[in-house]
Amino acid sequence: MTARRFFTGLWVAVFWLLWMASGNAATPRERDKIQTWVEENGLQVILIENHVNPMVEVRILARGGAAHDPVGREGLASLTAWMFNEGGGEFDSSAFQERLHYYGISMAADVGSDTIEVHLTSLSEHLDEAFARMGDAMLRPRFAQADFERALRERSAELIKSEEDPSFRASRALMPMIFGNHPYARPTTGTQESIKRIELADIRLHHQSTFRAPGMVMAIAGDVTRDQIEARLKRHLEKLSSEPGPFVPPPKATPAEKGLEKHIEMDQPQTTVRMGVVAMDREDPDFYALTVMNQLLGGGGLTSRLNQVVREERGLAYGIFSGFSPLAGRGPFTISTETKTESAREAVALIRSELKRMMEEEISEAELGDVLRYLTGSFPLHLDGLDKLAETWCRIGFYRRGLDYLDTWPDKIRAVTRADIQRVAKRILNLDRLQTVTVGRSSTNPPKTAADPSPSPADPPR
Amino acid sequence: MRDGSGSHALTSRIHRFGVALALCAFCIPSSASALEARTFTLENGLKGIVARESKAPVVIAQMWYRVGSVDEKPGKAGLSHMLEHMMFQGTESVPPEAFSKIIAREGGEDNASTTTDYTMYYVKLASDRLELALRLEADRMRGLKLSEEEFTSENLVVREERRMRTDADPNQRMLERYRALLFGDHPYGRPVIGSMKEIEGLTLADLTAWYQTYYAPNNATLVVVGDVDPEETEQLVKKHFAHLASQPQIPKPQLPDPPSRQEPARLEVTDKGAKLPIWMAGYTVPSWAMTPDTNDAMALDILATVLGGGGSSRLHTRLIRELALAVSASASYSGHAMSWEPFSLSAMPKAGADLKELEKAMFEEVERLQQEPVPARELEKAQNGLIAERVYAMDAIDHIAWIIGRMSLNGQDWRMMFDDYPARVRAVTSADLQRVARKYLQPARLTVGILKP
Repeated sequence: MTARRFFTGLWVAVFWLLWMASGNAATPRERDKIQTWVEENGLQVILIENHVNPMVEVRILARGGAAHDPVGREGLASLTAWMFNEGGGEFDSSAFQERLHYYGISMAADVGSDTIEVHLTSLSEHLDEAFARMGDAMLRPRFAQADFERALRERSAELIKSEEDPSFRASRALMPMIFGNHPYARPTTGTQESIKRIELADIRLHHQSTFRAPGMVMAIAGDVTRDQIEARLKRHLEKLSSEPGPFVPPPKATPAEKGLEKHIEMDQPQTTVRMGVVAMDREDPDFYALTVMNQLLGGGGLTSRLNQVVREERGLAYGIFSGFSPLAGRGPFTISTETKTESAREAVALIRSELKRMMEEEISEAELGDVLRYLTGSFPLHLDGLDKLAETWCRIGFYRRGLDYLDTWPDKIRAVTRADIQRVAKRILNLDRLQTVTVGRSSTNPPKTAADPSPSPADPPR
Repeated sequence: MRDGSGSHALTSRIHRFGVALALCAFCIPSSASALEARTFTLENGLKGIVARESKAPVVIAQMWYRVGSVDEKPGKAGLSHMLEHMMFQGTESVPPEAFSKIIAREGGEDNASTTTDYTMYYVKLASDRLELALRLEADRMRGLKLSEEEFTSENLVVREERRMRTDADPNQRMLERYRALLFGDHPYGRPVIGSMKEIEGLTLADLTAWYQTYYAPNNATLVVVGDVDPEETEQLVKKHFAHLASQPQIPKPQLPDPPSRQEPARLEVTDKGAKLPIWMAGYTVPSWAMTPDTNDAMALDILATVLGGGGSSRLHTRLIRELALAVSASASYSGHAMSWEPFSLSAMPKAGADLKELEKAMFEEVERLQQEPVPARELEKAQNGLIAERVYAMDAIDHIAWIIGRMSLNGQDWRMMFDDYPARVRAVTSADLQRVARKYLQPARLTVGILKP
């Protein structure tokens, strides 16, 4: 409930990417039989059958994320997602939730930049009940005024509470610096002013525009057969609109001409550092090179260069990460860390010098070997649960990566060369275009120029 | 936890305060087949539990040491957590910081976490590479090399961790004081990570002594879950761990009763970093481990669900829907601690809400549980929810291993959280709920905390 939701969508995408980044390999196991088909109304369905555990995970991605919020009414998509499980059909909000809980069903929607994502988890024995309620939510939402007002109360409080959180404040400042006038610049959860302009009719319209069969992808993983799914889709979701609806993918973002540094004053013992730049979409030929480069620079775990230099060698931070989010309109590449007030300048300088090193020096064969082994070797770790399978396959479907995406992934990763990594580093990590936000006490305010203030020489390649 | 990417660091602190119930949910339904598992103890005292779960070609190895902040003395709080960080700093055969690199090169992931009760290390990787994880884990159980140089920089990292987790967050600053009041002299009242002063004051000698005392096979439980053969795995464990020497005397922590009071303890904190108030309350109640012969802990778990589990719970209905005083309201109880733990209530009032009115409504809901039996449908709803959540949790081998390790460390039969769980949940009656509500949700056990902007 507190903060950190500003970025929800983006980070979901980043995590997905990290999973993907970790590998593929082996063809999915025989028992995880993948079937895909398109319903008559246009709904694309991906089924991963697995009968080990008597449960089913469903994920749905529908175009209608925060990037589709009207200017001035930011937060609309997010509130629409919030309202998703607030009653439908013959059940008002309370009765609806009571029924879901009675059957042990978990169903909610969340918002990302491109999409609204529906999560549904059910025991296989109650799957019909689960699909019936999903049909209510999609086709016959109640959208009662009292529930809408409760949503606004909660959102308003959440926005106030978020002000306590330096990472929320940093991200809110960083996105407009990275994206300028592009829709990805807008705050996902809106502002106090923008949510006041939102009316129930807006929610209804956004919901109707979002939940339409064409363009919507449903992935189902677990203890269920195709016949059972088809019967339930026919019974409960056949009436989804077969018209495509008004939302089209957002335009491609372009990086700002000049990187700026912005400081936000906050009385904190630590300075929160966030840096970022426009990166790429999933179709980009450099997608795989960026995946490898990111893992090497600041990917998860404790083996990255940024971690080595900032944490292990100098003890300046508990965590330091980079990540990217390949959205339809080109998502951001970001770097984040927190360090004590006195070290903020040093940390920013070290990050910049590591970026510079990535651009100026080819990485060693040994480093490339290690990172490729990690990425390809950790593949099974990232598909070892029904939730992960449903999530991953839903994104593959929504972003049209093709059914062979996981099968071809490792070879594409292995094909990345040292020269590719240097090239993609030069293309994306352009220091003149890199945006920087610091949140903390002003003594840490980094220099106002975009010049590289690095006081320490780059480490020699290892 | 030494990796800032995750959210389970210092697990017990986080979830005992009721922010999330994620880890409370593990089990399989009566319809599912029992987990195939093998339990053994080596001659040097190492306990091993291996369970086969072959949904994916993956395995997790969790090494649990029975040492945590509960064993620390005031002035040295944070020692167990600091040592956890140092466990990655090398042995005779593995150079400093190489542990994670070796695992990553094999496509694996590793991390660790420290809580009040235990320190746990895990490696997760492709199941055909399990032996690597076992070899490295055995190597650092008795062979850690502690150096001043590595300690100096890792100590700075832990200070940053404390700043990030606690000092930079008004809610966590408050929780630290609240927990101290709630537990009084009980070691659970001290922060797992330690105060900044304590972290700064830790020495290499402290760490060496701590390591030698607690890091031994007879103080450890190894849990392996995944696509492995339990018998073969037992042989592998023997191969790598059997030669390690046990430690003759491992001290037991002192676990006094929590304070008993004439009237509830109260803490009101004004923090200019806070932008909205938080209201919280906790009754000190026993855990599963403390009540092996009763169903009190199970009843408390169900009671927390009835009271504050989700959007159709009593607190949600009353505080958020009807009175429109709060924007969040919940109740939680984990049950997994070695010693006492809070049965927690918490709420975030909407801006400008009357906190007295909110508190009054909260306690009226508690009283209602004491005075009126919970209707059958509501009880069933809570039971169904708990049973379903345990099925869902079986989807992740990490969770299966966690629950096996957690229960074993407390000397409990972990199977009761798997095979027997649905029957145990169903056995709780409305009368049981009313009984535990009357017995435990008493003012003498209560601490109320309010954070104000």
